[in-house]
Amino acid sequence: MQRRALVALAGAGLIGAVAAGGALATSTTPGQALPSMTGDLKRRAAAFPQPVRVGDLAGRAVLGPMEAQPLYGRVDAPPVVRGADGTLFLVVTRAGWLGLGAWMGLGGTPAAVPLDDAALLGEHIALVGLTRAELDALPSFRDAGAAPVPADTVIRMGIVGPFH
Amino acid sequence: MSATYATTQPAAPGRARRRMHPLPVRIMHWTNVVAMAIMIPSGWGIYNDSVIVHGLHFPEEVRLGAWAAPSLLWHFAGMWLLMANGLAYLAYGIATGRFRERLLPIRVADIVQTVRETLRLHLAHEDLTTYNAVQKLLYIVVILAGISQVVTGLAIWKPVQFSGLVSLLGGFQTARLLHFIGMAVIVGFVVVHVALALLVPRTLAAMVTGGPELAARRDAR
Amino acid sequence: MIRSPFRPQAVPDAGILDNHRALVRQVTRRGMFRRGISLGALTMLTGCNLSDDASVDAALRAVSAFNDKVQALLFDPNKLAPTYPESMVLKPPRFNAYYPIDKVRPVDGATWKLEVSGRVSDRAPWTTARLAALPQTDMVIRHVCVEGWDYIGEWSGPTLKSFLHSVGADLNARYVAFHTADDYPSSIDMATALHPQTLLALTYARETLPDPYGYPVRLRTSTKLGYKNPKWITAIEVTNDYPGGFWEKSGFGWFAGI
Repeated sequence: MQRRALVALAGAGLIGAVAAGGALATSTTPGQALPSMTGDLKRRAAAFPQPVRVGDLAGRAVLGPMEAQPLYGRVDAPPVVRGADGTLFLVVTRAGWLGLGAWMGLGGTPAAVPLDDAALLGEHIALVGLTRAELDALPSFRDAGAAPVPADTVIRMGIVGPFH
Repeated sequence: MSATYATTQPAAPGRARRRMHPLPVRIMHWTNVVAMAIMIPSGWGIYNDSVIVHGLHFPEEVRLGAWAAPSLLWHFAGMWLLMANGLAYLAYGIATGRFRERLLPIRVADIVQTVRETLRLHLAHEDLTTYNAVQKLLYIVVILAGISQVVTGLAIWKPVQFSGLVSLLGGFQTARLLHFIGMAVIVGFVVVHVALALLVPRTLAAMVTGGPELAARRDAR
Repeated sequence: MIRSPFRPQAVPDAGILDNHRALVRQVTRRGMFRRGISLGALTMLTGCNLSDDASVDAALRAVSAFNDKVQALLFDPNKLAPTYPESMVLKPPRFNAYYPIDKVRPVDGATWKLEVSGRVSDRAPWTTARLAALPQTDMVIRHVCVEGWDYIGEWSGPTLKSFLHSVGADLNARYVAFHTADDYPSSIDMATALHPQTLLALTYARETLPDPYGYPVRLRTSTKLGYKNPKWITAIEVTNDYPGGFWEKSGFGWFAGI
């Protein structure tokens, strides 16, 4: 929590500096994935799936697969649900306007992301199978009809390295 | 021209003339400009490999170094210049009494008054040799930010050898964040500092020529 | 445009880029120094012509070599890196290499042999069983990447020191060099090689090292940046001749102590 406050402070300081000086630092356009990414990345991430405890996923940042690592959302609790047909979904609270939804724990509606559209990026999650627009277009997820997977269950997820 | 400088008086007989910015200060100021021009954009290049503020990323045009390795080379070369110059500046400022003379005392009432005057667009800058309360505060903040950058930089560079320092700062990632905040503070200062220097070009000239001569030391304060 | 040291933007095939990496780097570096000229004050005050990328690069690398010496002086062979409770271990750990995850080529542990060469008295190759028979050390340490990210991991295996003793290595030699199945040469100083938290890691979080993290054996040293921890090690050499390393050729510092 303290770290988030510090991040907010840093952001505010930097935004202040930029506003005063005029675009010394700029952000890359969010949602602009590297061209080869979407389909390719999902295939790559699936190459060496690793075991992960479901409970360990709660609260993780969900990031865009690009150098600026934009925050798309955060993993909800319970983190994983099983659909009626047995498919696993990662429940992600979307960042929404200015990223505040997932950042400060405000607003942000949850969406169910097919597990293989997400991959482990260290302590974060990278969205490898959906663009931000596709994530934001997903219907708001309600847990009716989907069973939460117990926290101690070990599932397998794809992994990726840093994006540059 | 010199008549407008309120504090300008003939130098005391037998004493060397004191300039507003003595030569060592001018040399250290411009050396610091070089150090900043190396450390800040190379730091942005290093930052890019693992962002701290998600979504914030520095475009190639403003970075020093096309990718992490040259940025790191610049940063770890520039650090010596920054440290040597910074230590010399601190030693000089303390030993000659310049810090005490220019930056102290600083009173809350004075800051409030200066801010109020500034908002009314009454900025008194006829006398370059005396800093107003806000200037004093900004200089103190940026000096502290510079010291903080060296300390947090050491913690990030050697988190095992200086593990005690890292714990004191709240952990490795917090040290990185503090290093980033220190950069933001310094960049913010530079923006204001350069903007004001361009608005009052005499200040810029003074940092080259030394500026007006100073009155005798106001030790009484 | 090369965007990263660790994740070259590998389109359409990483192999093509690998073969021309040095050239690509050189080209981008040149662009960088041209932009550097715009820092007029810098050019003026340093006396260097920044457009001459070779001389600037050489100067920067000379400072880097000097920094390596400073780092060796700062290195305290008796200072242990902080350790953490097992509950803080990130499972699974972060993957990283100079190529994307799908280019990982798993090593067959059954046929794998670790070659030993250089200033050692016993050059007999090692098997995983032999490494596992050495006394095992378990440590929960922070992995710090040059990129700025970190995580806490639990590694175990024999100390490199015990291995070097077993092969009768010349402990006064300057370097221990590594060769790997993914063509990632690396090397460290002897003082670090003998540090009690420098392991030939065989497990992560008490499980056999998974393929993407260097099975069957990788180096894990608590006192260096991540890129000094080669994975999928196939040969260890004790030498007095500077062996360099994969990223060091591109400008990363060699000592890389933390």
